[in-house]
Amino acid sequence: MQQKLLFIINSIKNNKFEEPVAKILPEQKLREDLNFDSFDLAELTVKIEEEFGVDIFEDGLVSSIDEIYNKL
Amino acid sequence: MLFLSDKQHSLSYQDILDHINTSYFYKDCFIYPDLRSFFLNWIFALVNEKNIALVDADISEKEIEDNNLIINKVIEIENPKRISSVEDLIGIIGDSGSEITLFTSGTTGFTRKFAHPLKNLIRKINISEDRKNDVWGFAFNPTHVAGVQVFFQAVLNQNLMVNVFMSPKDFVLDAIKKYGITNLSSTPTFYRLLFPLKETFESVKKITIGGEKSDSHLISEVVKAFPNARINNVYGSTETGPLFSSQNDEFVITEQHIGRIKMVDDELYIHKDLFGQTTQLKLIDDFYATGDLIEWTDNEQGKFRFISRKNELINVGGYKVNPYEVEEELTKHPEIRNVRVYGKSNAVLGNIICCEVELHADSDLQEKDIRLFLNGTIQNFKIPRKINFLEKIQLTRTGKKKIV
Repeated sequence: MQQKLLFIINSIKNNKFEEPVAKILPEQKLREDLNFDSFDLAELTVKIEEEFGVDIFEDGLVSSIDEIYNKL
Repeated sequence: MLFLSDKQHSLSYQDILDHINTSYFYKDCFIYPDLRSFFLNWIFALVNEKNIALVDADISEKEIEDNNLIINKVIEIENPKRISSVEDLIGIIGDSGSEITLFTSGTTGFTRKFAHPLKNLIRKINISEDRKNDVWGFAFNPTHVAGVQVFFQAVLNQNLMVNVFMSPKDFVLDAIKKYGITNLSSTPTFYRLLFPLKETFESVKKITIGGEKSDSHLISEVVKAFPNARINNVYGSTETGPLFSSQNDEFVITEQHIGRIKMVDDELYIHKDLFGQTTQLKLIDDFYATGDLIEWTDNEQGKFRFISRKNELINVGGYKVNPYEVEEELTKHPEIRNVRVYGKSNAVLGNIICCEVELHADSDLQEKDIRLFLNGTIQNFKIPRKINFLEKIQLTRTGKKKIV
């Protein structure tokens, strides 16, 4: 799961011409640490839903990697 | 003289005359197996002043039920009209008092029927000596308003129609060369799927584009490929029949429209005088709200352009995105063959812009390349965040892109 999430995050970074991250840590914040804006977060939800079948934002905002793991 | 060239079946004007002079039966709601039998059945009804409904060959059980249709019922005419020459036949078709019922294409998952007196449907048809040698590429569904236009334009001038509807690119291009096609009329999607072209087609004298929103980039590609063609961009609908035409993507209000069209909150409203009889349309003070959003390009001269369908604008985090604008940008990419942009509901932004992309055979374009291509040409919120690469984008039965 961690590898798949890393792949998704890097595909979004790649799409906005940013350097990929080598690894993700539970405490990382999506906005502050990964530099995701609301469009990137929307893209993230679509891609996670496609991969895992879960809409992580369905019942409230998610702000860190750890919170994504909890939803999945 | 040939009237129709189709894959397995062709039909001459003499064949039509023979059918008229030997038949007693027709079907007023005919699920046709091929174009040849479709036209023979229809022309027989027209000649005998019988009303007829044009239904799609792939009409569903639900559509039949919803519209209370009785399909394939054989109707006998006691003393059918007999005709001595092809010229008389053409004259009788043009003067027919038949009423023709058409159905909307049902892209919205819902079909409605509209009955038109023949004279309404053929009011824009041009019959003249100059048109006698036209050869038509028949590139529309024959049961819908645009296909009906081409049929009458061709038959009333005794032209040949070559069926190229939904055919692969190479088949269409071969047909243009083989038959010396002079006239093509189809949707923007049809032309888009012909590009890129390695050669030009000199035989084509007139190109008509309609049924979907077209754009200036597409029109410029058409001009390059068909250097001798006059371009005619048309607007009409099953509800209204043909209404406007122009040489580019701008339409002009003419005298017949004054007082009969108006714009309310950017939406085009059309007076009931301009369309066929129907009990199913909702009217507001005798006007029908088309759902088409327009903008004036020259208010004084009455020139306007279509922007989008009202219900197709996608709300992304409070911004309105016109999917056609995004499609227009994407189709400028030389490796993209066809594209469809749509919205998908999303918890973060309300909606997210998605697109389906059909690439040319030798392309290995990636999502990132497409994002890079759009970067700086359209605003960030309009850029698709989900790109699906498909071998073929699915088209509706009228040859248009599906609307979600």
